[in-house]
Amino acid sequence: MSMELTLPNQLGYELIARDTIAAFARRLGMPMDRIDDMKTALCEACINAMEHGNLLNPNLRVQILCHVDDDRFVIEVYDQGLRPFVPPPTPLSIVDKLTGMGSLRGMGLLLISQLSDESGFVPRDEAGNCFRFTFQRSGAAHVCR
Amino acid sequence: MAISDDPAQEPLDKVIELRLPSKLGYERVAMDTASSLARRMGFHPDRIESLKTALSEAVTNAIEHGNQHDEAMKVVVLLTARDDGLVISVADQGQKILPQEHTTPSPQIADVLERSDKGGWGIWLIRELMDEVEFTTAPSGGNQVRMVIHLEP
Repeated sequence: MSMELTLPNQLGYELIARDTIAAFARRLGMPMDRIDDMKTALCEACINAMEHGNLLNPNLRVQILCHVDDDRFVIEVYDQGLRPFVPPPTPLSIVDKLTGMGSLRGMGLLLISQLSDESGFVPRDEAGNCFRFTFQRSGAAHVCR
Repeated sequence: MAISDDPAQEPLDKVIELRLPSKLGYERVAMDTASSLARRMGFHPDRIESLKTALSEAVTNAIEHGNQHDEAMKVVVLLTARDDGLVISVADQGQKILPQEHTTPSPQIADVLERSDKGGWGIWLIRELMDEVEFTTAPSGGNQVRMVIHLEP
């Protein structure tokens, strides 16, 4: 089962994506607490794509792909990559950041990693970043409600 | 503001595109997406309910009739927020082209009750609930319904 959503690259549209993904996940029987995690993680990923990948250019688009199988609910967020993601050499933890050891910016990826079961950027040959995060479906009811 | 005849001419920077599996139940994803956008645009809750009902009918028609319940086929929903309203387009992949005479129905309750098939109310309902409705052929060759709901000042 899969679904695709493409959004204008404008802050605020991530809230629409959040409601779309929640409706899709409900259909697939995901538990409500996992849907809440998914909504927060998706908002963070979309904002990253809009701000950092697409540099707030209103002519670009953000694409969200959801693939679901028996085991996993996978979400991929694509930008059009005006600026490729470069991972920091020594990433700080949220605790480090909150205790003043680094910028308070950049917590979105840390938050997504805490909320999802797997997350990370996917290497691509073409332009644009792809950020993928995954939720296990072990707690899902596997029925449409 | 004039409404263009071709959904493809809507400014891309305002268009949300949703591609759903052709499986009954997933029309709810489209309904929640449209509701979320309409709420943020300032539509009255009654109008949002009308929009959800019309969109549900349009997507259900696309799943059942256009795509013949083939889950591999997609239903494409385009939502465009404009200053004066919301434009919604629903397209299928056209396994079964909708005859023109089916797009302008005025079903009579007595007639429908006589038939074994009690369907056929969806398009009538869409026309009742939306401010503008147009049936065309999608760029993919399937059926497409374009609906507009006006945002009242």
